[in-house]
Amino acid sequence: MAKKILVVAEHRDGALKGITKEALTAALQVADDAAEVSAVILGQGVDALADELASWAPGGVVLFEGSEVEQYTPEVYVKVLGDFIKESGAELVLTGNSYQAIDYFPRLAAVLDAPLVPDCTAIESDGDKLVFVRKVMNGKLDARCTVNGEGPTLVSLQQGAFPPSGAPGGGAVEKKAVDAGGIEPRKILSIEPGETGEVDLSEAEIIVAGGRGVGDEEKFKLVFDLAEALGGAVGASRPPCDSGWVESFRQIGSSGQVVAPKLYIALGISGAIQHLVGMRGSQCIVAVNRDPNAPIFQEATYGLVGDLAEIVPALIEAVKESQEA
Amino acid sequence: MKILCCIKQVPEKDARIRVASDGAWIVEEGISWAISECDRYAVEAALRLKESIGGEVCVLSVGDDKASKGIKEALAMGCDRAIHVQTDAVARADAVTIAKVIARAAKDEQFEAVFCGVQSDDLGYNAVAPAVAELLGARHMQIVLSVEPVGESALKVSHELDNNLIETAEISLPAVLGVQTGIYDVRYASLKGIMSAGSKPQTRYSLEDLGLSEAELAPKVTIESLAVPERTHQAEMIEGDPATMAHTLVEKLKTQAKVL
Repeated sequence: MAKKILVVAEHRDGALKGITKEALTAALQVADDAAEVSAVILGQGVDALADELASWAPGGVVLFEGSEVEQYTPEVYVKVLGDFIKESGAELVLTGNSYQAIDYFPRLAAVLDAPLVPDCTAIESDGDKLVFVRKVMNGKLDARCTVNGEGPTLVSLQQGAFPPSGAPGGGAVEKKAVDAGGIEPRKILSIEPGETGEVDLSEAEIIVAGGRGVGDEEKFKLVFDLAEALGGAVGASRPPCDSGWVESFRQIGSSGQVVAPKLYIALGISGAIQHLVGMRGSQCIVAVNRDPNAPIFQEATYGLVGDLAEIVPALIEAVKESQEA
Repeated sequence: MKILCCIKQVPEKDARIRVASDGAWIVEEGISWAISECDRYAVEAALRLKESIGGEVCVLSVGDDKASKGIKEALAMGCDRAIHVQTDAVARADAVTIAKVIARAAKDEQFEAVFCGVQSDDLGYNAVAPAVAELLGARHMQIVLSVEPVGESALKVSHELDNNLIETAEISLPAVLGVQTGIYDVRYASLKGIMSAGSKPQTRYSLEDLGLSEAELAPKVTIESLAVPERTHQAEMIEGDPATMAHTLVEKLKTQAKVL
């Protein structure tokens, strides 16, 4: 399906990120020949990560080493990767759609004047063309896209869309010095954990979470009531936190906490990917939503369609009855 | 400071989206349109920066008549003037092509701070701000949580990284920032704002006015088809009146899923 494929690796705290392995898995799936799958990593003192990466990239790994790339800055990443992609002749450049990728990948596309397909969920082939699938209209529709023109295509892959296969083994690592000539990176002042608050949701066995569909701050009390009846904790998707209905430390998802309770009850949560990545690992998921087509029903074990104002009080009642029985 | 904010009109969040007969776009008639949620925060961020440091805020939108409504609302919120690139031609375009139109319309004005929403509610590329920055030769930051001026020539900006980390950096101007939702209480238009919006200056361009060549505007990514996502997994749907549903669910959670 595709010839030369380059995967841009990402790492933090001395480990390759899971999405990098997912991107390599995608690359190996779409490659005509696994030997054409190579990877690039930037960093200082990351030899071990480059070796690990090489076991995934039969076409070899290029490690750009230097103090300029010890910490990520978009200025240096775009310069180094832009030059390298041009030189490598890669047809397809894949990376995981992390927040870091969201920050620099579009700029790289502009530098290369290349097609960019962000947050892709599947890659298919249609004759000799690749078809990239991504969500549009707030996840309501799948768009099947093709790219036009010569040169590299840049594609970032949605987290979880390509479950990692095993490493095929076989690549070699080549080290290169960073040439960030003339580039002055931004001045990073601090990198700190976001607000976590008093509630560590990752320890909770039962979580009841509310979304935009709950309606307003007053109605959000229903979420607390059901959590109390079940002896669970209260979480939320992004909109209730943005709107100030609940504290932001309750946010579950890519910008908040990642949880995996035994039971997760999603009330009025439509199921945006940013939320799903934070709760997908739950053992049992119950979704209650007014919209029968809400994407959350594709994640849930059990689904209930209807008005929260009617269903939640009935649930509280049923939970209490079962506890008394 | 010369400040720009970029907005896009998109289908309202609750709009019933249907695929058009060509299979490659949505039925635009009969649905409500609104400023994309993140972009409202971009307008708010732009207005707050002006209020703290002085200057003017220009709002820019690319689109047909629907965009006029968004521009009017942004002017009513407090923007001083507007640039409207009147075209429907890039509605389905990729992020880099859209960025080229925005950058060309903004270039001569030499804005010092440009605010975009981090992601639009329609195509959701999450990509326009960094691409605009490249084309304007400006610095950028994406997924922005807070902005404060550092003198006249830099901004102190915080943004989200993965693993719930927040990075704060000082970036020199000009800069393009992709603003995240939820970071401020976004103001509503005041009555006075609404009254004065109509008389604020608007510059209107066509794509021809901007002098973009056909090659520059040729889409790099084509949407071949749109479809309701195929269901790979579907929840077991529990039906009945609320009390029946509730009892059935609790029973299943106890005996089937064994989580209660």
